[in-house]
Amino acid sequence: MARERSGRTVAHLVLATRLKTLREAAGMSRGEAANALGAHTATVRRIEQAETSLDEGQVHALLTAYGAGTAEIEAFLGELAAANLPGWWHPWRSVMDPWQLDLMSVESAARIIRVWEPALVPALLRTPSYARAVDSIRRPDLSPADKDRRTELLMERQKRLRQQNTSIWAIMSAAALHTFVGNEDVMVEQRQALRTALARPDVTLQIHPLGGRCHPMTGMPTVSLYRVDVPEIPDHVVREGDLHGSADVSSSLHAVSAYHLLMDHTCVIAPHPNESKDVLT
Amino acid sequence: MTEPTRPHQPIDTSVAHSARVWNYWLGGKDHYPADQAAGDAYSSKYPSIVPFAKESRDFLRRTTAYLAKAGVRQFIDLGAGLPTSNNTHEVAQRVSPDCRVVYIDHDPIVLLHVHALLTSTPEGATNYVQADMRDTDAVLAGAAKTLDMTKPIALVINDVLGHIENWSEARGLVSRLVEQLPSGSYLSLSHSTAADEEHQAVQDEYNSSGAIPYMFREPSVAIELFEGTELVEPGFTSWPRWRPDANTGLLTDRAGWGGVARIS
Repeated sequence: MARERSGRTVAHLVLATRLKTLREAAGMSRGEAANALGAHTATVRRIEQAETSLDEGQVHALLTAYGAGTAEIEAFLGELAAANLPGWWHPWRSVMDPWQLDLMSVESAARIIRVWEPALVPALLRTPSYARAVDSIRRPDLSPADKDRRTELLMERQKRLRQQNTSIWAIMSAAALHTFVGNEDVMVEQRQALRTALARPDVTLQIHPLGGRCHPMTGMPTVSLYRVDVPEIPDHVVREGDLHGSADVSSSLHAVSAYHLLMDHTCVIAPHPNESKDVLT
Repeated sequence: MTEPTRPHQPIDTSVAHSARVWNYWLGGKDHYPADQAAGDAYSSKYPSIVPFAKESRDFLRRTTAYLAKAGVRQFIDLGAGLPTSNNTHEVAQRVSPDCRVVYIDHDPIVLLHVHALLTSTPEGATNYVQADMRDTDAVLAGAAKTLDMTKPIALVINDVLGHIENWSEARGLVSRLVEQLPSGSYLSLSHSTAADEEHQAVQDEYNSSGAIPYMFREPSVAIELFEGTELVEPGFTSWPRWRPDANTGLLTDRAGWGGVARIS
């Protein structure tokens, strides 16, 4: 039975990856593992890529086939019970974008999130009224109640990132300070919030000036890089910019590494974080 | 139209960079394809490089903890490299939260990562200075913004002097720094050495690849860097033999040596 979908948790992702490692260590192909399970090869692939929930019976059968001992199997199943609990974001899933459902697990364990934001204040630094005002313009497809819920979720994400001490390293264009969102009060409050954020040890903000040098992410839509300090979980890159609510999420080494490189070069070209205060005052 | 606020510093990520190659060997995630390719080329011919890299890092952890326990509260980490686990300030501030650490590196990418990621305890401080380690005046002037230069300082030079090809230049920069530190300061230094001919051959290949080269030096030569200081026990020795703890495995006696010395 598949559990109600609220997206995988990081614990789920780690266990799925560990299953793959154990299979490889046992020298078995996916086909052989599938035979042991009495299932299709695609099932094993989906399990290992955390595309499906982990079923206790299936996990038991796979671990047995890989030659795991009783103690090892019991420990694994213990972790599985915790991993199968829904994530904290479960109550908001109806207003979340599909890619967000998958990414929340990574975000909830992230040590650092790096963001390039070309035209607006990065979501993770928005005030509630700024965030709500952005949604009210950019998401005409959503009901006011859904927009309220999304703002609520964003605030909850910000709060939790702060609690888990995730570093936020954002680079935004100064265009965001000139793009009028909501009303004057919203803008004043947002600027104040950015000034306050600068004093936080967990926030690094670089503001690329209008008239600044062309950099590798010039013209690119919003890009985020997520880093989790678990060897099993690669960095993830999120590219927004198509229809609102859609995004490409990749953890392929090629994509992550390419964006990492562009982001690093952009950060070196942009004014130093210490200069942000001057721009905001 | 305003001019860019500062000159754009060219960075070349198309060739391997030792800080990122080490990050790759240490299981980090801050490296580019060129670094991974160079790291793989190296480790496929000389797999021991991976444990060597870990030993070097572990030496840094043990020496830093030793110095903090000995009462040092100020550190200059020369050639800091990319943030990884057990960074100098984390180890020192675990012993005493009021430790102040200045990271020095010439690579702007390294320094931005340090700035964004290495946050200090509220009691202590971390800062970073972009400087070439050869420019000892810039190193000391930069450190003086965060440290009290009249109180003891630990100068940490972990496995970076091999990047200076000219031996007398390497010796000169260490002695210039040591001379200007107050009495009661410490020098914590390590240097890689060729474990065997094969190791040397693979390093030669790496050095000719366009990456910033690293010169191995024999312990009998590297020890000259401690001239004028008093080595603390157990002296200048192979990494795993320097005050090993429960987490130290003895893998080799040869790949790298290091020591801690008091400056009087």
